[in-house]
Formats: sequence, structure tokens, C-alpha cells
Amino acid sequence: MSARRSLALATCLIAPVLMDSVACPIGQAHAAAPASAPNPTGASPAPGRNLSRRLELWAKPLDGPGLSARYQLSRSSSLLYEPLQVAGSLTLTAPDHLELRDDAPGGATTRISGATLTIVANDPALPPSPPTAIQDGPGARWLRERLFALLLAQGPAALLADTLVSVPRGPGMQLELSPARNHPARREVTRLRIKLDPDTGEVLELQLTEAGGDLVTVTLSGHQRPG
Amino acid sequence: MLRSVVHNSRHRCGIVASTLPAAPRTTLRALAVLLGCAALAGLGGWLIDQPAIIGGVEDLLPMEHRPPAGSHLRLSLRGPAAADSWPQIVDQLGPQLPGHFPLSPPPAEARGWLDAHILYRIAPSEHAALAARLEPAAMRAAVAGIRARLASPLFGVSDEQPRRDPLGLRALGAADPGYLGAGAASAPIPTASGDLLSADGRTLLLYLRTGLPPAHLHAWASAQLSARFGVDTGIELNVFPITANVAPTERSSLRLVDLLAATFAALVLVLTLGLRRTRIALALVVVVAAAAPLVVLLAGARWLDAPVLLALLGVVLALAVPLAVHRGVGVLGPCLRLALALTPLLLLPYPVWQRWAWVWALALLGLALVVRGLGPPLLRLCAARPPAPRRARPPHRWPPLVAFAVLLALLAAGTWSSRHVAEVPYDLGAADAALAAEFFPPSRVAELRAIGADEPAALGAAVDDAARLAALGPEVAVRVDAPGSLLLGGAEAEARKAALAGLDLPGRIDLLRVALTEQGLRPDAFGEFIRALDPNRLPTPAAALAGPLAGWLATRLERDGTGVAALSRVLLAEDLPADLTLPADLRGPAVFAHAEARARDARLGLLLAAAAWLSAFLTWLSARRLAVALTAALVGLAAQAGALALLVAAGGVGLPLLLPALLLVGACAAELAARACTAPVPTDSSIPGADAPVLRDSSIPGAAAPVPGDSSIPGAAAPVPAAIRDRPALVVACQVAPALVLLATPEPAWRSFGLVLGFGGLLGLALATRVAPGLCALLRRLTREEPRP
Repeated sequence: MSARRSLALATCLIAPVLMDSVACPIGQAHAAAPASAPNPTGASPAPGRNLSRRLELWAKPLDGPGLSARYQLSRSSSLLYEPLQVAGSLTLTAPDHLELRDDAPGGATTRISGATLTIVANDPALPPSPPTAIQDGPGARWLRERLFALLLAQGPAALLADTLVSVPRGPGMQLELSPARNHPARREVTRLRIKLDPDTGEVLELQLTEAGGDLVTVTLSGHQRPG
Repeated sequence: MLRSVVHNSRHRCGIVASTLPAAPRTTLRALAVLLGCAALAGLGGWLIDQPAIIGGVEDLLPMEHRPPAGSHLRLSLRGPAAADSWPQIVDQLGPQLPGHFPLSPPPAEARGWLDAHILYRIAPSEHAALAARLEPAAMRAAVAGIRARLASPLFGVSDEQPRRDPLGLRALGAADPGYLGAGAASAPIPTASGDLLSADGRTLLLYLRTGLPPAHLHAWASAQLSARFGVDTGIELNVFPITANVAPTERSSLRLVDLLAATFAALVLVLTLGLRRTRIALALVVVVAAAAPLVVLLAGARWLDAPVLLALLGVVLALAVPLAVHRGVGVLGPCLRLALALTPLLLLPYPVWQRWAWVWALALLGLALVVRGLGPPLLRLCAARPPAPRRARPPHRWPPLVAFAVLLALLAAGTWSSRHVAEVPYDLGAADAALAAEFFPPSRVAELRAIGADEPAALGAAVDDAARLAALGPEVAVRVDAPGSLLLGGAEAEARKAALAGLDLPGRIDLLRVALTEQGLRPDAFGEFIRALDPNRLPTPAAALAGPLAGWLATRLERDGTGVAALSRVLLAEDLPADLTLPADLRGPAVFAHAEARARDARLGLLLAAAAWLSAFLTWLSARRLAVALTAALVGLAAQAGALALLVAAGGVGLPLLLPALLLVGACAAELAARACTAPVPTDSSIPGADAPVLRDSSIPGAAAPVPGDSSIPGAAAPVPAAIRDRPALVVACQVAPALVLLATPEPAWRSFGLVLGFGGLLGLALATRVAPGLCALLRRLTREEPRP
């Protein structure tokens, strides 16, 4: 085998591995684009091959106006002696209503309705917390927009706005989103890692890393999209 | 040989040797003349080299209300090249720049300070609610609620901060001050250095409290970006100086020398047409133009000075004809009266107009002396002929009742207009326009200074300032940035400590630890809050100066020879209620604008009343007739009212910018009215060659008794008829000429100035010639004043 052929073969073998591990610049370019040179068509620049494959897969489940699923949540926090584990059901109704209800009475119910976020303990005897105005909190705003875009498969433009996106190392169809470098949400949210079903494109797992160090993992199952 | 030449030359000149001045005296005089000419030439050259006119509305602000020297620096992220370094730039650039003045307390340190003294932010009136939250059952419920809500994936982005306040005590305390508190979605965010970041995170605002010029600051910031952060492209950098003290903004591309040239050209035209003598017109304008640089040196050449300067030249040239041609006979009175025309401006708080009250008088009298001294020789030198006779027609004088009705109508229109004149926007030009959308308009920032013998004393006094600013409410005080809002005075802190003593706080802390452990939460993770429950940590100025806020507090403390001043800043709302009373020692452009809006009517009334009284008094001094004095004052007032009405109808700029024009209109109209009331009724026989009327009042220009040989023009030694001197239309034309020049400029304020000056002059002429005689007759009847023989 000539040296030229060896070099070509080695390149073909190594290139996919390298491309899998390198963060795609699409998100960065998208984050910086609006002020200096807004794209008149609203389309993102051409993504890399791996990212395109994942976005194409993710966009598949766009066949219903909502989603219901079961979830398992785990939170690791310096506040807790041990990680917190809960289970519950998720209900998403387009365009702007999301509810995560824990099964256990010691858990909580999280609701996003329009621009308001409320987290209420399931035990009615416990004191309520005040609602959060999502528009006033950059972290809540960024996370809300990503969740709705992800679960409703609203398209790459909604998913990647103000966002750096990369394809992390490791097996499976994964995406990693984080607020753009200049976005104030970076003070609250470090990244959101998404695992997709390789067959259906449904979101199987969300892993949220908070700026305070907490790690929240939400594993979804039993996806149902009402027709 | 030499002696014979000198002897012969003296004989040829026909000069007697004994009458010659001594040689050294002749040399000194020649040197003085030469030096004078050189100085005037130098001043003229300096005037030509002057750049575009600078300055702005801020010249009206009293010194204490002008913002301190400083600049705002705006950095905008424009491209991906700087995106990686942007977070570091946002947090670290400010302290690297000269005069860095944080616009907010650094949030981490300030929130840490507030959390550490959370008990002292709760007013004694809320201590019952505090005790209820520290009950064992309430604490257990609060901790269980945290444990339950931690199960939400969005708990970390909600408003809850369990580490700092697991029991919800913040809700009982005072709201976080300034930019630390929750604001609208579009509100800027404080950075780690206390600068402001726009809501979209792409624009950074720094405030540099230094007198360094903008170009210097731009270069300094660019160098820091390049050297410290490795950023050469991708960031747009703008410096917005606070124009009052740092570097005046160019307001007009016109240069003063261009305006002066246009004005002199217009005056040459007016004088030539009025006198029908080109040489006289040119000679008089040359004399005034030669002395003009001295006036510019005395008066300044800023934005607000230019129109008054042009009006001054017009008035001087109106007086120049009797001064130079007729050797100043009967001009002293008008000179003095017009020199005092702007004196009422001393009653108002505008520094530029207070200065002009003096400058106007000095410049007008000085120029009159120059014209009187240089005019006659120059006219003789150029062999000017006497002015052409005036084709005087007897003006149509309105009957007394009609005159009175016209006067009343004008005064009513002026009174109505005075309530509809525009307000002066005391903004900071480009800085306000550029920063208002994303941050705040700098002109709306006001400051309070609390004075103390040392730093703790000044900060103790600043606590009271913060309370006064907070009492204004968010509708007035949009943002309060005051060191006192983070502190408590010594006495108040001790009183709250005594009130907290009954809550058994050590026992509550133990209960809280147990409750946290029961719910699987680590008490050590809440150590910051548990330490804050120690009532011995008082938020006093001394403690703050020794704590994490010391660096920020240092920027709020200014030392001088007598003590230390603590600065409290407040961003005032755009539209303040008219009946609002701001703290007396609050300073800033917005505070002055508010005071002006409240006192606008009173100030205008005071000014016009003072001007009318002055006109009446000065006229009475010369004429010694009450009816004439009252007529002059009323006609002046009516001309001002008419000019005011036109200004409102034309949508002119704010009245404080035009006060000198208004006073000049009144003074000139009063002068012409006095002249019309004291002069005999002109007839067609007043044309030269006919019998010259004998005027009674020698102090009115043009009304002087004929003096044989009082003309400075050769061949004009005969008695000068009043018809030649009495040229009210020429006087007004000299007032209108600079007004026309101002109307042709692109500056709205100058155009409004020209409008008032020109229209007011013409209206004053009409009133003086048609209304004043009838009104004077009516007043004579009313006052039963006997006409003097």
C-alpha cells in the first residue's frame, strides 16, 4: 500500500472521531450573529454532519401539539446529604403550558404557564413559594425556551437562539446546549445535555448543570403525543 | 548739515519748533499705537483660527447643578472575535481604567453584606412577623417546603435562594437597593465590578469620573482590551463625555468668524441703504469690526454667546451713527439705558446670562467709546459726505383708545403665551440619546453629598440621605445608589439590636439545624444564613469600611480639606409631578429642570417686571415725565408680549435660551417709544433745508437741540436737523440685520433668538411710532400731567 493510500485511509478512520469530539461552531456563530449580521432568512448556518444528524433525528416527533410522559428525577446538591430521587408525570400542552407533577406527597409540582413559573409543594400544609416571573430571570427564560423547543420539536432556530451547541463525547445521540457566552443566563445555568432516542428522536434524558453546582437529571419514558 | 535739514523740513511743514512734542513722547505713542494694532491683528487672527462653536444648553446650569467631570464608556459586542473574552471584559475591565466609578455596588459583595445583616434590614414594626417565622413549627414547615421544591428541575432558576434565606426572612426586610433589586426584564444587570451590562448581555456601560479627554480614554480602553484581554476587533467602543465640564460637544459646524462676517455684511448693507452713504457705513463697520475681537475675548464664543454677541454689534452700530457722525450729541442717555438692558438677568439663576448682564454693559459702553474715538477721524480721513436727508413722513398715529386696546390685546396674548412656551431640555446631548434605551439618561442622575469629619461620620450622615431618597418612591426615584441604603446609623442599629434580644436567637439556630437534618439537608450548607442570625453583627459604617464593601465605599467618599463627603446618587423619573418637592441639597440637571418648571411663571414675571420698571425709571430720569416713562415701559412690555406670542405660535425653543432677546426687544421698543413721545409731530417740512424743529429732550437720541458744527464730517458743519438724526427705522434695521443672520443658521435656538429679536424689533417700531404717542396722550390725561413748554 502506497503512503498516499495509507494517509487517505487513516484520514477516513480518524476524521469522524475528531468531528464527534469537537464542539460545533454553529452555536457560537449563531449567538454572535444577531447584532452584527442578522440572517434575513432566519436559517442557521450549515451545521456539521454529526449535529445535522442529531437535529434531523430530534425534529422527527413533530406529530402532535403536546406530550405526556413519565419521568425519574435525580438531583445532586451540596444542600443534600444524599441525591434526591423522585418520579412523576410530565404534561406538555402547546404552546406554553408545562407541568411536572411528582408522585410522592413530599414532592412538588412545577408549572410553567405563559411567562410564570410556580413550584408548589404537593403537601398543601407546607408554605407556598412566590411565583417567578420568567421574563425577569435570564436563567428561567433561557431554560423555558429550550424546554419548549426541545419537547415540541419547534425547529433548530428556536432551539439554538442565544445558545452554544455541541456534540459531547460518548455513546448515543447526545446534544449539549449552553447559554451563549455573553448571555446573562450563564450566571445560573452552565449547560443542558440532551439524550435522544436513536430510533424515534424523542428526548430520553435531560441533564441540567446549574451554575451553583447542582446536577439535575430527568429521565423520560412512556412518551405519548396526543394526535 | 543734519541740523540744516531738520530746520528746512520744519519750515516746509510750517510747524513751529516750540510746539512739537518731545521726541521720546512721540516714540512712545507711536509704539503704543503699533502695539495696539498688532494686538488687534493678533486677536483677529485668533478669532479666525477659532474652531466651530462649542457649548450647549448646559451653560444655563448653575455650577452646583452641573454633573461632575466624567465620561461614560460604552462597549458593544459586535462580532465573534471578542465573544470568548467578553465575560472577562465585562467583569474586569472597569477597575483597569482611570477614575472608575461603579454605577452599582458589586453584587456579590453587596448581597453577601445584605444577607449577613438580614435581621437588621427588618424594621422593628415587623419583628412580630419575624418571631412567627422563627417558631419551631414554622421553621420545620419552611425546611420541608425547601426539600419538596428541590424536586423541581427548575428550582435552580426560580427566585428562591435557600442557602441565603431558607426561612423567607427577606420578604420582611427592606427591598434590595438600586440595581441589586429585581427589576424589569429590560433592566441592566450589575457586573462583578459594579458596572452595568445590558439585559441582552451585549453592551457594557462604565462610568469614569475623570476629566481626561475622550480621545485619551478611548485610547486607554483600547490599549487595555488589546493588552490584557487580547481583543483588537469585535468590540465597538464609544466615549460619551458629560459635556458640562469635560469636553464641550460641537453644537454647530458654523464658526463664529463666519457669523460675524455675515452680520457685518448685513449691517453694511443696512447702513448704506439707511444713510445712503457707503463710506460712512463702511467706516463705522470697520471701526466696530476692529474692536470685535476684544468683545469676543471678553464675552466668550460659546453656543449661547454667539446670538447675543451679534445682537450687541447691531445695537452698537445703531448707536454709531449719532456717535461718530454727530459726535455723540444726545447719545449718552440711550447708551446708558441700552447698556443696562440686560441687567434684570442678574435676578435669575442662569450663570451665562448673569455674566452677560455685565459683559453687555461693559462691551456696549466700550464699543461706544471706540466708535466715538476712532469714528470721526476715520470719517474725515475717507472724506465721507453727510448722511442723506430722510424722507420723513408723518406716521399715522392711532387714537388713544385704539392704542390702548392694541396694547391690551398684545399683553393678553403674551400672558397666554407665557404658559405655553417650551421647556429647555437639560440633556447631555449624545450621551442621553445613546444610553437612555439600554441603561439610563445621564442627565437624570442627581447627587446628594453628606459631609462628615471622617469616613464613618460621612457614611452615618449618608444613611439619612438614603432614607430621604427612598422616601421619594419608585415613581420619582427610579434607582437609588446610596451607600447609606446598605447601612444603619449607630443609634438605630443599637435600638434594633435591643429589640432582637427577646427572640432567643441562639435557641432558634439550634432548632433550625435539627429541622434541616430531619429533612436530609446539610446544615453546613446554610452556614451563611445561620451566621447572619447572630445579632452582634451590626451593619454600621465602621463595620462596612472594614468589610468586603470597603473598595466600593471608597469610590463613594470624596475627601477635601474640611472633611469627607459621601455621595448618594439617584436616577430621577422623566416626568416628575409638578408639586413634587425634592430634597433641598439634591443636585443635578434634572433637579434644576424641575425647579425651573415649577418657577417658570414666577421667573418670567420677575424678569419682565424688573425690565419694565428699569425702562420706566431710566426714561423718567431723562424725560422727567411720568406719562412718557409709563408709555415707554408699557410699549416695551407689549413688544415683549408680542414676540412671546409669535415664539409660541412658531414652536420655538425654550424661553430661558431667549431671555436676552426678549429684554433687548423691550429696551429698544421703550427707547423708541420715549423718543416718539418727546419728539414733536414731524411734518413734511422736516426735510433738510426746511426749518429744523427744536427738540425739548436732549437726552433722547436724535432729539437733541441742534448744535452748530457738531458733525464730524467735513462740509457738514451746519446745524444737523433732527430729521437726519432721528432714524428709528435705521435703529430697528440694525437690530433686524443680525436677527436675519441668525434666522439663516441651522441652529433651532439661534433661529428662535433671531425670530424674537427681529419680529420684536419691528413690532416695537410699529408700537413706538403709532401706539406710543396716543397712549402717552391718554396717560397724560389720566395723570393730569401738564405738557412742558
